[in-house]
Amino acid sequence: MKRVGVFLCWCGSNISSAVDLDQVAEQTALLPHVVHVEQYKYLCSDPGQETVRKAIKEHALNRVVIAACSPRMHERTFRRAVGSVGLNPHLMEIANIREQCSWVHPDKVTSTPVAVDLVRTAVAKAVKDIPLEPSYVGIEKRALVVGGGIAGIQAALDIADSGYEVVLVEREPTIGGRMAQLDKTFPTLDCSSCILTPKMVEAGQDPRIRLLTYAEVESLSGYIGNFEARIRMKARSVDLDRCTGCGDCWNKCPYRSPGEFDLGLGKRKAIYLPFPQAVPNKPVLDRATCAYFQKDGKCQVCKKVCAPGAIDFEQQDEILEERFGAVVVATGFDLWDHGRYGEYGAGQHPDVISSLEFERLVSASGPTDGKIKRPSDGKLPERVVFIQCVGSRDEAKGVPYCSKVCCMYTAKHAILLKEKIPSSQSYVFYIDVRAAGKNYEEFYRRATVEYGAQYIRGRVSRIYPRGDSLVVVGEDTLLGQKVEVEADLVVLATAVVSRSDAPQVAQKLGFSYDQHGFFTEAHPKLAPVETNTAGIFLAGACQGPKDIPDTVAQAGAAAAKVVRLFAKDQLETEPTVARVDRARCAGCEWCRPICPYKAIEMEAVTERVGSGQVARRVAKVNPSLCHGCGACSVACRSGAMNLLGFSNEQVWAEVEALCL
Amino acid sequence: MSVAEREPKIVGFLCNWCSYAGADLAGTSRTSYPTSVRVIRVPCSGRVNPQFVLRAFQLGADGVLVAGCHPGDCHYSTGNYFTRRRFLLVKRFLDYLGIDQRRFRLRWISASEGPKFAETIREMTEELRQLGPRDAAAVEAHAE
Amino acid sequence: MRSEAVRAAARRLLEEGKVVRFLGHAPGFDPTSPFPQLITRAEEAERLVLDHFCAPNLAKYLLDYETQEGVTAVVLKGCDALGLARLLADHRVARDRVWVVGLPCPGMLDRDKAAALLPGVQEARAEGDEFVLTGAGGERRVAAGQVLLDRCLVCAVPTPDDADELLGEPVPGRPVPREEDAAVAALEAMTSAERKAYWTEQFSRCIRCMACRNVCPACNCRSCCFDSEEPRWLSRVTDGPAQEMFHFVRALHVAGRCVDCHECERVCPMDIPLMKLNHKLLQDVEELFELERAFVPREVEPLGIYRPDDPEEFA
Repeated sequence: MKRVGVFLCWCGSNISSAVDLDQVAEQTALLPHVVHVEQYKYLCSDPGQETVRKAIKEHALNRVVIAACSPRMHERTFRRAVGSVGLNPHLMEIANIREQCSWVHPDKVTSTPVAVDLVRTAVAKAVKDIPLEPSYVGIEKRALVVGGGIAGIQAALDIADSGYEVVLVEREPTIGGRMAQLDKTFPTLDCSSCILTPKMVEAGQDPRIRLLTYAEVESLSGYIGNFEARIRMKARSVDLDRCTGCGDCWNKCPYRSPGEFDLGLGKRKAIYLPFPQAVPNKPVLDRATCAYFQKDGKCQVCKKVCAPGAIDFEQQDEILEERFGAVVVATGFDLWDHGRYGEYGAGQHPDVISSLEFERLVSASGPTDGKIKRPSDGKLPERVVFIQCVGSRDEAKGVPYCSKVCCMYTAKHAILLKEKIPSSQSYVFYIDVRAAGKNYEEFYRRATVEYGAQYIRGRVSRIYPRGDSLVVVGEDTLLGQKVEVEADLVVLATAVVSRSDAPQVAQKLGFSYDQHGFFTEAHPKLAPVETNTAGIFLAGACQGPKDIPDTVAQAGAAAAKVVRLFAKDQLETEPTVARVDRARCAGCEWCRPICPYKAIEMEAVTERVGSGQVARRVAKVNPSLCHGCGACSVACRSGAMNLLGFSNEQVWAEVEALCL
Repeated sequence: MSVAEREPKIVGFLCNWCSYAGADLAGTSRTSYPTSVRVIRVPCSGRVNPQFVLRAFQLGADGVLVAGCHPGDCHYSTGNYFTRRRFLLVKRFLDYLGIDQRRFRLRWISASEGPKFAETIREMTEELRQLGPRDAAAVEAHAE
Repeated sequence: MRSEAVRAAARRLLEEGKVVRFLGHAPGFDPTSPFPQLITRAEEAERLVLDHFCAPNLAKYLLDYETQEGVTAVVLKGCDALGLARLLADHRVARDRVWVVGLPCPGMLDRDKAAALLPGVQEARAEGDEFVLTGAGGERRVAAGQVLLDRCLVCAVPTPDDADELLGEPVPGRPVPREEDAAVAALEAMTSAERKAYWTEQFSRCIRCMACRNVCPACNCRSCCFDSEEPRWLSRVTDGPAQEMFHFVRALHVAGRCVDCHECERVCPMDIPLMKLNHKLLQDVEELFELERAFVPREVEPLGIYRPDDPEEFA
């Protein structure tokens, strides 16, 4: 027997002045199941809530309708009030007679029938309400951090420092990421390594952080609190437990090839340490460039010189299976390939380089020991042209967005150039200078005023060689004239783009990405580090172009979200989720592709048919993953999939009551 | 009251996160609009089963509005894209069955678009008034 | 036509133990209206027939054996095979539990057309582009176009492309423009009120026998929303709105999933032009979502996916 109590709120005079509540009460009292109607001046106030609680007890109400302000305002308040006297909180509905009635229909004559309809509809829904309970899941209090750049390192350190275990997976042989490749950082000109290396070492030494370098996540299944990851440890050919990092192997290795860390500007051995401060400070053997693997199987110099016997040519890839409660994705970015700009030499001219290559040239630990030698002939360049927005803000050939960091690092490059080669002159072609950030504008000013960088507003149309220099042809749009600058070196601020395999990573881990391959946050304003998959968080440039302070801040935020999750012992999930009527479900699976959270799996059920047992497959909703959007309930033709709280029965009843 | 002056009845299915909030905003900003609309709150426009829409028409609604977040802004990231697909088809199909497609609207109304919600209701009400009752006979029968 | 071939196939498959049951056709009360026939023993093969009146699609009967052990052989024409593809895409039938005996189909006869041309018709045989009808009233030679089912006149897929064995050589499809487009266009040209009147009249004949649903390979739910008590999606009375609801929902539930087999229309005892509903949706699905041959089941149904650049007419 449904016993509905209806409570009409005056909201001071906000409702009562525009709606004839006596008339609403009178008509509502006539509705089936309604056993009690009451008005109160401020229902949301403590005495107002007490009125509701008292009436529930006195009149043995088992459904409550509050006709008041928007449910977006006080749904929680009234759910709590109802719940506090033992009624299931979901046996309460709200009729929005303020925002959607009295405030928009100030005339009592016309607004009162609207209120009557809205209350009747809420009653009809309430009659179909069923008690809903949240579900609880345990939490595996270990975090997986994917990507060992500054974002991943920071997130791992923060999580570990809160007392939880972290596995940090990095696909390169060392952590450090892009930041390790940089020379100095804007706007303070801190040495990048000097501020990064201590964090790398800390991450390497923290007993709660397990570093898995030269490793990749193969797959991720499960859900918030309970993920299962398969991690591939690529064969490093070096036994990390035995290796002491002494360096004998790479010193003796006779084979050199272009080094990845220096972007091919320097050489490394076949067995090598990517850079001196690498963590772990132990080498990797690159089988693709090793004579033992590629040629005769003889060389074995490294093995012969290795005193601890750490070289293992037979090592195989290994798969680890680990459980995690949360994941931070910090896979970083790539740079746009300027080879696509034919007019800039299509990547063919050795002295037209990317800004990251310039970083390696200017870095004290780089292939030129910090001397800015141009790649073609090793000459110190006197005239250097920096070109901004190469690929960025170019819908035709590149990407439409702004890469955010280029304006600032170019100002930095101009300063570093002048410091290293005081006689030099830099020219910067730009579209706009975007220097929003603390001390950023001042930094850019310093580059121009103190270091004499000449900024030319306009795009470069062509770069071509003349003698042993390069001619940069562009337009100065402020003067409205063509400019030609002869340069010894041209540095292109190529766009920050997503990793080429970002979509595959997103698919493997199970969250969405945008048209540029950047990972999509759950909400651009209010959930900037969450993904649409609960329990997976984002940090750094994998989510969009970002500088180091933003990246570190975001990594900290992602870590905080993980820690917030781990602080609980159980995860309570909203009860308004989809539910399957197994008897009706045919197992057609059309609900699955429409679910944005991969919350629907198939399960086998066995049923008695005649004398035997038969097995069938039916849909199963994981309440920890379901966010309650209800898309599946519409995809389901039979009605086997339903959404609790907004069920087919409820909405159907609302439509009928509304149109009465 | 002649048929033409009769206030049309609109059933509005509004998604909780954008359009319902937009309608609330019209309220908080005291933006008045016709009393023709009655709102049913759903979590997402993707929750609106076309069967609800036809049912509303059959029970005497002159118009039906489904409103959700703008494409790309869905609280559930993709719900409204499915809504758009589904109702592209449903709108044409309703029309094919003789329910004039001007009676059905899907609108993207964000939480900040209170004025757009009010304007949508005004527009729809005016258009439905022009179109007249959907089935005059049914309306009369209903009135008896 | 192919009765001997189908009997031989059934005998062989059952004897070899490749299948445990064989679904084919058998003569009904009237030879122009065969029944589906299930046999489980080789000696029962004699009961089977396969002639020009075997229009019924047997694919959906596979659902009856979804929970039973063993492989089921089934005789399928090209159009029927799309029905099976539908069941496969809907995960209702497992392909490895079905043995498809494909019939490259020369076209099936419309028994009403045949009976009109030769009252008491009992048999038909093809001779070139003609059919020879025989029965109590003698013999009559008629052009194929006069007597084939409408759907067979424009059949694009006479031969199953997923058969385990074929009873004969593949038959090419008929590249005939689809006349149904014109039928839809004619309705679209009406005013809204005229269309309303048209469909009200058509639907008013509906006796809610559910034959259209029951025969449809896309209507393969385990429990149908029309049978649901709560919510009662469909009123038990058969008044105008309920009829409209029934036909609206039936058509919409197969939108983007209909395999264009016309079985619903063929079995409708009240001659309601159901394919005018299905074709409208099929055309719109193809046009709006830029799909070709939307009647061919695919991995994800058109309403189970989206494109960010789908037509935007709602703003």
